[in-house]
Amino acid sequence: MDESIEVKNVSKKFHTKNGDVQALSDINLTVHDKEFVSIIGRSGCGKSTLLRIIGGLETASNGEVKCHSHEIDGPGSDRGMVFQHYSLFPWMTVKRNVEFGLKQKGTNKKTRSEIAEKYIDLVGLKEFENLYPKNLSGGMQQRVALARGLANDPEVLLLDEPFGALDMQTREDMQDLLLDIWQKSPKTIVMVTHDVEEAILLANRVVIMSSHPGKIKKILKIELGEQRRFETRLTSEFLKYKGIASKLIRSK
Amino acid sequence: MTDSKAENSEYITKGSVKLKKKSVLRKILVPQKEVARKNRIILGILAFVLILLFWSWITYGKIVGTMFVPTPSSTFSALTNMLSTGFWSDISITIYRVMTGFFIALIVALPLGILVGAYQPIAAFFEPVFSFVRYMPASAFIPLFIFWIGIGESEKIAIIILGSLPQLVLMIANDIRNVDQSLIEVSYTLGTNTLNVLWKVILPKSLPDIMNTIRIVLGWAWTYVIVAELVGASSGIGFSILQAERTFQIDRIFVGILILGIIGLIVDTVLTLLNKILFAWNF
Ligand SMILES: Nc1ncnc2c1ncn2[C@@H]1O[C@H](COP(=O)(O)OP(=O)(O)O)[C@@H](O)[C@H]1O
Ligand SMILES: [Mg+2]
Repeated sequence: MDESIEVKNVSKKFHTKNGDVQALSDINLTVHDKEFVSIIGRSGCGKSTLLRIIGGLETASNGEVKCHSHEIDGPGSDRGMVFQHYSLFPWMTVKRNVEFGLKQKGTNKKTRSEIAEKYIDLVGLKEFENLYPKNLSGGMQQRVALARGLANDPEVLLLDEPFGALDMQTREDMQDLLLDIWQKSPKTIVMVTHDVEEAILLANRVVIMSSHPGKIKKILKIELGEQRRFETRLTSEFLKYKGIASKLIRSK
Repeated sequence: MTDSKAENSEYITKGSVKLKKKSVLRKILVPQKEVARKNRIILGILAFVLILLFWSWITYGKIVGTMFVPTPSSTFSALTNMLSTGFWSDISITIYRVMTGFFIALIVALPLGILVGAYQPIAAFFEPVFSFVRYMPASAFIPLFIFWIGIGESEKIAIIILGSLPQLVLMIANDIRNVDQSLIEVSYTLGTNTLNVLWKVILPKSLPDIMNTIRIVLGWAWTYVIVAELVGASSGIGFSILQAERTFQIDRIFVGILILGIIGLIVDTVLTLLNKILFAWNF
């Protein structure tokens, strides 16, 4: 398998008024092409920081980060991001939000429209494409954010607790949706979450981090087969992974 | 025993009626709670009606002498009288001064405010100066401007520019800064760069706020023009107020002040409405 993202010996120190914060220390992680990796750990262990460094929104204090063998130097459309709080453009309709990235690339209007409609349909928002974000529920807004990220067809999709602000039912729907999308057309995805089940259900590998300083404690390979569904959560293998992961997260 | 709720409602005494009244007021006065549009309009009009009643009471009831406060009817007849003897030209010259001065200030302040808000080095250079000028009252410059440019139109317009430009720049810069960082970040990951993010994301997001800033500062510009017209002018609403004072025509002073309020209210309402129409996504 090809390497998509390589993180080598990465550390990150934040300089704040109350002294330095060592957010990440000696992180090594390789994400393969079309692999789904979840990152999980206590809040404040540096998950978002790691994701933001890969996304180019933050620079590492030490070490190197590559995307398809290119040194990462700032954000770019090859690494799409979806945040917890949707961050939709409020002055644009659903459709124009989803088209935004394509427009930046200079895709022509017709193609842009077709692609946007395809992804809006995929996330089940066909009737809502001409509404403004403020007229949508949280779950619907996050669907739009997901469609916007996917429509741009980035090499890597980075998700930072994408479903963290949603209620449980909606969250499970969204997990199904993401699972479905990924199984139909695999993509390289790195997803930060604090939900153990979500991390295991969706991922090929789960990265478990410890805090202060943020380090990778363990990387769990999840072998639950290719065809996963909601019911996969009820299998004994799944519960076994859940037990191992939960214990690892809790241990000091 | 039957349902206790039903029992309670059967035995309402005078005391509990009082209690009930209080709870109605409590129901209406909930902090930040929305009020139906219709009721809001009624309450707004009610305030004006009360003022008018109070005004009528103290004047027609001879509580205050008409030397000091004219009656509503004499104010109204002064208004019709003034409008038929050239007051329109005073009104239009004042509007012209405000609009010209404000427009020039806006043309400069818009790009400048955007740049100050978006780029920290530019802010570091301009902001202290504008903050300094902002605290120097525009009216204090009137004698100086009269000395420099005389008492013509350019002096009045200069006062308005001086008064509104720093406010506009600083407030527009703030509107730009208020754009959520995450919106900017997500647009980078969708392919915008540091140049076009300003036009594609920051500006469209802050436009309703900038529009609101324009509305607020335009209101302040009204006060500057009147001060400028009270000192060294031969036309305008401010001038006509001063004229009326010199001839003890208190009703004409009232007309001048009321007209100022009415024009201000109309402009404010139009701009608020425009904001809601242009930026429907925001409301
Ligand atoms: N911009 C920043 N400035 C200073 N400290 C930060 C900044 N961002 C994150 N941190 C600190 O780095 C640590 C890791 O944060 P973060 O990556 O957000 O954790 P997580 O996403 O796992 O909850 C925390 O201690 C946090 O306070
Ligand atoms: Mg986080």
